Amino acid sequence: MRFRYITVYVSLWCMLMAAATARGSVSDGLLGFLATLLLWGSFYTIGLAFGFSNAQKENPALQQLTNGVAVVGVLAFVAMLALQGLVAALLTFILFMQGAQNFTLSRPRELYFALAISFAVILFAASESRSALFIFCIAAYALAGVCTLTALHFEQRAEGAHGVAMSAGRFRLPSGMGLLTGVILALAAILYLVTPQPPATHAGGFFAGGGHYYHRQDWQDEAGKGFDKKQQEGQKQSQPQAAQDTEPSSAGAAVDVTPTYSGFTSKMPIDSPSAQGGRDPNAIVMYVHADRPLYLRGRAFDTFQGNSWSDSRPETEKLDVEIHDVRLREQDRPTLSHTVEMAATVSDIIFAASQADELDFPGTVIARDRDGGLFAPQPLEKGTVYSVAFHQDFLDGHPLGDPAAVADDAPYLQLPDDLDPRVAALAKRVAAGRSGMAAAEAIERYLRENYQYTLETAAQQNDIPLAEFLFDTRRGHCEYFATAMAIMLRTLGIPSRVVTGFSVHERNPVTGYYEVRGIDGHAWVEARIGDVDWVTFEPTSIYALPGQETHPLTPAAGLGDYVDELARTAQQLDPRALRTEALQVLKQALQNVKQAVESLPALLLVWLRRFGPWLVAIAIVAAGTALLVRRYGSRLRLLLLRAQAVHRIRRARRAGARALVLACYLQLERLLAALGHPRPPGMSVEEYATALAAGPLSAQEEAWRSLTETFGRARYSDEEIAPATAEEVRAAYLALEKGLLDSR
Amino acid sequence: MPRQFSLGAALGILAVVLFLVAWNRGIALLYGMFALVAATLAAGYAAPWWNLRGVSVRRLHAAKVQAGEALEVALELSHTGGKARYMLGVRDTIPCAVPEDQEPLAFVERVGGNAPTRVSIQVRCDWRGEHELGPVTLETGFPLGLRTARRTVPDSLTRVLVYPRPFRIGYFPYLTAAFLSMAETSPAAAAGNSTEFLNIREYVRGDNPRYIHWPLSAHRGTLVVREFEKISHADVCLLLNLDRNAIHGRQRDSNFEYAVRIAASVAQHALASGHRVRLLGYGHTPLLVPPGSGPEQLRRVLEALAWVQPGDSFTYGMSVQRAQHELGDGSLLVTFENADATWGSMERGVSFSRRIRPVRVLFDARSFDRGLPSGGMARQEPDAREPVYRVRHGDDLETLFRGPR
Repeated sequence: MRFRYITVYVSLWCMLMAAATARGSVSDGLLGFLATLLLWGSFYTIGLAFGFSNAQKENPALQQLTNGVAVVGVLAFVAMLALQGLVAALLTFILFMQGAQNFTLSRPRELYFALAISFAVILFAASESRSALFIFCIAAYALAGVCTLTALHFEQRAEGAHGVAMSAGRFRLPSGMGLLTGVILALAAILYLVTPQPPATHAGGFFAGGGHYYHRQDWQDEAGKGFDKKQQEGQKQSQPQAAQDTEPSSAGAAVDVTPTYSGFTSKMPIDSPSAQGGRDPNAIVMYVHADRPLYLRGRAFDTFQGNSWSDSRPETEKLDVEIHDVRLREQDRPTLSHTVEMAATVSDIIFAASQADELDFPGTVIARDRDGGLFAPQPLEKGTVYSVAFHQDFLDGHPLGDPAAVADDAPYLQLPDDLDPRVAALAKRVAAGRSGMAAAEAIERYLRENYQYTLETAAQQNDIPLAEFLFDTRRGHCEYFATAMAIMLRTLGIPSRVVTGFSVHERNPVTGYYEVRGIDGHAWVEARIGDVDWVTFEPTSIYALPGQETHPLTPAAGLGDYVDELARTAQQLDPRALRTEALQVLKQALQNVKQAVESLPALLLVWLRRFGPWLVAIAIVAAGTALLVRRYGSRLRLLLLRAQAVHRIRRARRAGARALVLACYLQLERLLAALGHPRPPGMSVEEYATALAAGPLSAQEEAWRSLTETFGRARYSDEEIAPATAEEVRAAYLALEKGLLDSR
Repeated sequence: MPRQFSLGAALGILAVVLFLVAWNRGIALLYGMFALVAATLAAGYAAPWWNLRGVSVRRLHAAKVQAGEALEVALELSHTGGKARYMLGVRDTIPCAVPEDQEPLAFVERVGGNAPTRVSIQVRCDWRGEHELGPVTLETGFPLGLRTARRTVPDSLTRVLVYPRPFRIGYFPYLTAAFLSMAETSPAAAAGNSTEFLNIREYVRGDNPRYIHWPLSAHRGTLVVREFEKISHADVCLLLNLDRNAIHGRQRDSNFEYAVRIAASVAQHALASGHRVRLLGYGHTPLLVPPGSGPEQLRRVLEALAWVQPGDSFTYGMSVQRAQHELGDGSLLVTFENADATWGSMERGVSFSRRIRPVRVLFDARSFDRGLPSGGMARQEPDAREPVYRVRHGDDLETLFRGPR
C-alpha cells in the first residue's frame, strides 16, 4: 500500500515540527531554538515534498538521496558525539534518519517509524524540560499526532475498500480534529492530575551529573592533604574576586558571579542580605528534583560582629572527584537523593542537603570547609547538573545539620563586644530555666510566635542593630530571626551558627521540579545540643523546617500548594503588582474548589442522614421498577402504545376522515417500530410497505397495502377521503394491530 | 488491509512503559506523556462507538443478475444525529459473489446529518440461485483506528436471483442444420399416428391395410391409402438429475452446479441455432420448462436453472424413461450422469429408445468428491455408441465443449 493523499504528509510534517520545536525548547537560548526550528523545518519540508511525489510515482533517484542523507546523519552523529555527548548525538542521528527517510516515505510502516522517532524526541524533551510551557509542545504534538493517525487510518481503510465515497472528491481531515484533541488533552490533564506519582525508584541508574565540567589544577594538587588555611583565606575572603581569579570552566564561557544573596559570600550583613545585582529576585536560579521539600545548605557562619556574620575558619580541604563521584561521609546509608540543575550562575557553592553522604559532580575536584560547606573550583554555570545522596535524621522533629565533628566550641559561642545585655536577659527569660534542646525549642518558638516576618525591613532598618529587632520593631527578615536565635543560644552557652542556603519548597506540579528562586535564599540556625552535633532550628515564622513528608502523591493535591507559594512570593516582592493580584484570585479559586471538594463528603453525610431512609425506599422502588421493566418492559410499552393509539384514533375520528387515516397509519408505524421494524430514515412509504409485505405483514398483505395506499392519498393528495373509506382503514388498522400482537 | 501489528496494543504497552520509566526517574513530564498516551488510547477506543450511533444503511441493487456479471450494490447511509459521522465502513455479505468479494467493504468518508450518502460497490457473482444478501455490518475505527466498533444493521436482508452463466459451445452433436430440418414440424407418412388427414396416395407394400381408402380405391381401381399428418416435435431436451443423493462435491463445486451450467450453455447454443429446447427434471419439486424457442425461452430456461435445487427424486434411470415417453421421435436428449472409475455410468436403469438421440454428460464422481483439479482434460469419446462428454472437477468446460478441432 502506498499513500495517495497529501493529508498524511501535511499531518506528519506538523507532528515532526512539533517534535523539533520541543527539542528546540530545551536547547540553549532563543538562538538555539530558532536554529533548531529552521534547520529541521526546512529539512523536513523538502523531504516530505519529495516523499509525496515518490508515493505518487516511484523515483529510484530518491532512494540514492535517502542514502546520501543517511550518511550525512552518521557524520553528524560522530560530530555531535565529540561536541555534545552521546544523548545529543543519538538525538541528532535519529532526527537525520527520519529526515533521510522522508525522501522516500510512502508506506504505513515508514509512517510508524516516523511516529516512533518523533515520540522519542518528545520524550527526550519532556525529560529535559523544566518549564511548564512545555505542555504547549505536548498539545501541538498531540494535535498533529491525532491528525496523522486519522489520515493514516483513512488511507488504510480506503485502500482495501470495494467502493469509496468522499464528500468533496478528495480526502479532508474532519473538522472535529481540534475538538477531539481538546478532549484528549483534557482527559490527559485530568489523568495526569490524579495519577499517583510515587517516589522515584531510581532502579538501574542513580545520580546524574553533567552540563559543564570543572577542574582546577592547584586544587587537584592539594587533594588529600587536609585543610590548608593559607590558600583558602584568599579564596574565601572575597568571593567575586576569587571567581575572577579562577580558571575558566571547560566551556570557556565568561561567568557572571554576582550572587543573588549576600549569605553566599564570606561576609553576610544581616541588615541588607539581598544582593541581587540587578537580577529579578523572582527568577528561578535552580531546579531541584527531590521527593520532598529540603533546605539546601550553602555556608555556615560562626562570628557575629554586631551587624554582620563571617567565618573565622575559612580553610578548606580538597576532595578528589573520581569518575564524577565523591564520598563525603564514611557512613554507608544514603537513602535519599536530590538533583540540582543550575538555571543561573549563583556562586561557587555546591548546595546540598544537610546530611550529604555522596556527591555526583561533573568535575575533578571540590573543596569542603570545616562547617561542611561544599565548593566548586569555579562558580557553577547555568546548565550544570549534580546529584547528592543524603540521609535525614531528626531530633524532636528537627532535622540534624551537617554532622562534621567540631573539636572546639569556642567559635560557636562567640558574642559581639557591644551586645545589648537585654538579649541575654531575654534568652534567660524565654528559656525559663530549661537547658539544651528544651531551651533551644523555647527560643525558637518564642521568635516564631512573637515576631513578624517582612522583607520591607531590608530598606527601612539598614542600621538597626539586633537589639532593636528584638525589643523595638519586632519584625524583620530571616537573617534577623536566625541571628537573634543564634546569639540568644550562645548567651545560654549553647554553641550555634547561622547557616545560609536555599529553602526548597515550591514544587511545580506540572514539571515535578522544585523551582528555587533568588528570593528563596534563606538563613537558619544550627546548634549543638549535648552530644548531638548540630540540630537545625527554624526561628523565622513563615518558614517551616523540612520534615519527613514527601510531596503530595498526586499533582492535583500539590497544585494548591504551588499556587499558594507563588502567591506568597509575589506578595512579598510586590503586593500591588497585577501578577500578585492574579495569583491571589487563582489561589482563592483553588481554595474554594478544594473546600467544596473537601466539604462534599460531610455534606453528603448530612444529606444522607436526613434523606437516607427516603433514598433507600426510592432505591428499592427503582430497583423493583427496573426489574419489572426488564421483565415486562416490552409488554408494558405495547400496552401504553395501544392506550395511546386508542386515544389518538378516537380524537382523530372526531377530527375527520383524513385525520383518522393519518392517525391509523402513523400509529401502526409506531407499533411496528416498537416491534423491531422501524422505517429507516430516507425510506419511502411504498418501499416500507413492500419490505413489510414480504416480512411480518405477509399474512395481512392486502389490508396493509390498502392502508398504505389510502394513507398516501390522504397525506399527499387533495382527494377527498370518504368517511366509509376512513372506517375501512380503521378496521384494517385494528386487524393489523391484532395480527401483529397475536404473532408476538 | 491486514494490520501488521495492533497500534492499540502498541500504545497500551507504551503507556505502561512510560509509567514505569516516569516512576523510576520521578520525572513529572514523563507522567504527563503517560497521561497523554493513556488519554489517546481511551479516546481512540471510545470514539468509534460514538461514531456509529444513529447510523442506518439502505441497500439497493438489481433483483436479478447473471453469474459472471457484476452486481452493483448501492448502499445509502444516513444518520439521525446532529454531528456528521466520519470514516464509516459498510461491510456487506454477498454469498453469491466470488470468494474474494463475498464480504465487500464500502468506505464512506463522511455522512452528514442532512442528506444520505450513497456509495456503490461492484461484486462479481458466480453462484447461480436465489441468495440472501446481508446482513450489513457497519464498522468504524474513527478517528485513530485503534479499535474497530461494529454494529449489524437490522432489517438489512434482501434477495437476488443469479442466473447461471452459460459458456460458449463451439460444437454439440446433432445440433446441426440437418437435425434442424428434421426437427421442424413436418408431415410424415407414418399413418395412424395422427388424426389430421393430409393426403392420399397409392398403396405401397408395407402400408397398414387399415388406412386403405376403400371407396376411392374402388372408384379408381387401384389401392389408395390415406395419409395423416404426424406432428413430430424433435426437441432438444435437457434432463437434469435432481436426486440429491447423486450430488458429488460441495456447493458451487458440485457436479450438480456443473450440470446446471452445461445445461444453460447447451440451451443457449441450441436456441441460438434455432432449435426448440425443453428442460426437465423429476423429483419432489419437478423442473418443467415446456419446449419453446427464441430469447424468451432462453430467459425461462435460465430462470428455471437459477431456482432449481436438488431434492428427493426418482432414480435417474426412471427419469430418463419418463422423459423419453414425452419426447417426439428424433429428439435430442441430454443426460447428466455420474460415472465410475472406468467411465461407466453409475445411474441404474438408464437406457435409450431408438427414436431418441441421446448425448450423455458423464461426471467423474470421484474427482468431485475429492475436490481435486482434473488430471487431464476429458474429451468426447469418438467410438462410443452415443456421444459422451466426460467431465472432471476443475475442467474448463468451454474448452471441453469447443468441439473437434
